[in-house]
Amino acid sequence: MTVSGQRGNARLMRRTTRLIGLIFIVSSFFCIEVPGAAPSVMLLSVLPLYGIMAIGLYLIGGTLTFIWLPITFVAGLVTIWALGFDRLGGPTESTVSAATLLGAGGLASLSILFMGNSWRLGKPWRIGWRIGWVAFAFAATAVLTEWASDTLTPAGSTVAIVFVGWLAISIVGYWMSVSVARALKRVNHLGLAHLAERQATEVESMRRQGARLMHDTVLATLTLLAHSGVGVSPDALREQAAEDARLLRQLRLGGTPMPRETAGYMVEATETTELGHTLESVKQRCLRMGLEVSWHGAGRILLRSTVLDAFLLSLAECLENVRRHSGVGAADVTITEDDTTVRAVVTDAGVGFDPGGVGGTSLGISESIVARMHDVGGRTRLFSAPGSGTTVVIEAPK
Amino acid sequence: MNADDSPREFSKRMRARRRGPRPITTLREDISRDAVLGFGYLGIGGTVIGLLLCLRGVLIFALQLPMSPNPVSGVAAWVLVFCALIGSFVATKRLGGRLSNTGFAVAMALLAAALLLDLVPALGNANALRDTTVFFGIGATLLTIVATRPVRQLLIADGILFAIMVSVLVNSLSKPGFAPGPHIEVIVLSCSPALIGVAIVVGYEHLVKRELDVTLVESTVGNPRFAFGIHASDELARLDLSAEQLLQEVASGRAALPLDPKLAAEASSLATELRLILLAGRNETWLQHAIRESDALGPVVTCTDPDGLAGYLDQGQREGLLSAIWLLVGDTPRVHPQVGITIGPAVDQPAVQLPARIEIPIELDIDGIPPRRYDPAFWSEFSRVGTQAEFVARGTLKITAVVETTAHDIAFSSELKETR
Repeated sequence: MTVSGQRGNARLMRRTTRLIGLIFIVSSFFCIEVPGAAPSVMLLSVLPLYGIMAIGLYLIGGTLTFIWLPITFVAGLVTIWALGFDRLGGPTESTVSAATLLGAGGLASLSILFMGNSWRLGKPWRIGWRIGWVAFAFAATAVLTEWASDTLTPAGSTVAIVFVGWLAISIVGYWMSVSVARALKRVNHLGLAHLAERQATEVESMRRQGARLMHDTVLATLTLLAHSGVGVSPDALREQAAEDARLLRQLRLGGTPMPRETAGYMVEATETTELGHTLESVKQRCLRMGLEVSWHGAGRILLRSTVLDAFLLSLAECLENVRRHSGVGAADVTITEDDTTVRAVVTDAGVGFDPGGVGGTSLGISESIVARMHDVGGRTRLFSAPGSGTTVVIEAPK
Repeated sequence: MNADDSPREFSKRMRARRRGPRPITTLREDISRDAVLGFGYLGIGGTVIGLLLCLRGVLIFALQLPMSPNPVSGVAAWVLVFCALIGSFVATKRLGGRLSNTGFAVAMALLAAALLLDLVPALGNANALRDTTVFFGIGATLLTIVATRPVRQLLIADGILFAIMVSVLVNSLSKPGFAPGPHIEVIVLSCSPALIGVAIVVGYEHLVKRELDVTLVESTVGNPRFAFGIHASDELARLDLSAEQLLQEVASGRAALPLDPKLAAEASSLATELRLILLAGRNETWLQHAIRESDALGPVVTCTDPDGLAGYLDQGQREGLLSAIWLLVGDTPRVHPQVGITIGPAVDQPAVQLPARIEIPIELDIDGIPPRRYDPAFWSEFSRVGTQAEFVARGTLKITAVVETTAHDIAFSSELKETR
């Protein structure tokens, strides 16, 4: 049970108390307020008492200030007594009804506050205390109401009515609190299910987002298709589309399209793969897109799967930039490694650009390369000037 | 509520997973509907009390029976009431907690017949209301079905009962020897149970829904710094599927190359949406997800957090912030607050040593609720976020959260800002 649940439950109890109490107090007042139903001296003397009870119940329904509980109760008892007091002109048939409504409903409503929270008290003796208080309050009310009805009703019938009222309202309080506790427990259950669902979804989307290399080729292919596939050979494009569709299908079926993307890749930091094996896919892609790349340096390098992914992706992105922007159809890639770092240097002899002007316009470079390498603890450096080609250095930690 | 609930939940989720992304978002609606249907148990209480009140009515009837002018029609009326009561109970059990339209109509017809049988012979005399003991039984029967029918129908039925009783009362006013008190007593004791029952059901439903919202939203607190959110995940899955279909068409040759303009436009929009959504996950934090996914917070809370700084807050700070907002807007009848949250810009402390500290100013613009009406617990929850809270303007609260981060986090965030 959460804190807010407890507060909500207590508030529900207070409001129910107020509703029931006010219904019965107001109707009790109506019984004697009708002209001729009760002498005016009695009407005048009980009026303030009804006022106190109404205010008390109103306040109890808002924020429970404990002192209003006994005040309201005592005011109710005094009212019942006054309704049956012969010097004030009672009892008449109407005052008996007023007293009965007060005893069986108005005062009984207060029992909700005692019965309605018993589920979280736990200790039997404390629950016993509460039931004891309710029983005592009931007894006082019943005796007084029976006295106030004098001989106008069959002996014991008023006690019976008051008893039914107290019993019913006590059950209301108890049952409500038990129902709420059960419902909140169930909500908690559902919350856990929801949490699991959220985590599953997050993992799933991380898996999808994590398959960045794949998404990048998909995006590149989609971009080519957005230009109706003009400028590349239809056969190569079809082949690439088939490859990308296959990857997406694997992803959808819960598979892991890139060899390094396993479901547990986030925790298995030690898993390593051969670079040469997957570098091949980058090479193939460049070939299909008509970019001539000369590869130099190490052919087999071991990297953690996440790092490898980012590394290859950044490399592919660099080459894609060369193809799109450099104005030349060839590039050089040199891959070297030392004890701590794997480094790729991508060089072209194209038009070059002003690195200072890239920031705002080229989301591709910041997002696909810089941010991605940072994600895995690597770094990226860019050297270029208009007219003098471009060199990108990508460094990944081993 | 039983032990077999969790497997049911589980199988539902698995079903949702199999059927694809859309059902996952409807899961939440499923859950809330289920939770509200959970008031079958509450309904049992209504049935028990209704039965109790019914028995009291029978007792009064039995006591009056020797003096009654037409005992036969009275007995028949009570028999009809019990038929309605037991019949609706059985029908409800059969249907797993709901009473069918037919069942409800039959029950109401039985009650109306009972009323006619008992009331018509008594109409002539001054104590018509007191002699018609079946009124108690009708009110009590309405209480027994309070959790099984829409609230409005019960209110209408109870209102009709009340109107009939009041008109009988008015009719008796001029009769000699009339005392109003006992008649009002009979009216209140007959009509109030169902009314109170309806109020309880409504309050209960509200409480459970709200609690469900709190619980579901709370699950965002444990998110990583940047997360996708459930909606975006579904969206990503949908885009992937569309892309796959398009690529498949190109690959199989069904779509001729060069592509026609319509398909080309589709490819272009797919690429744009895909790119956006793959980037979006980097800026959305748990707080934005929490607000968007909540029924209660969504319409009244706005959040401005361009740098995604909310993601730096630790678990305790997140819970404090979320609870504080909840206490402000979650359950405040008669006031309609609007809350705007502004987070940032962050003040980086020089990272002399690790762990480094970062100060995140958080401003709450609280509109429509005066400070004295803030829930008292608001302040204690709010102070979990940071140490100093102050009013910087009328209705604007500012607090500075201090978080310890690793140097890598900070470098990353400033680098991102530069490259953006």
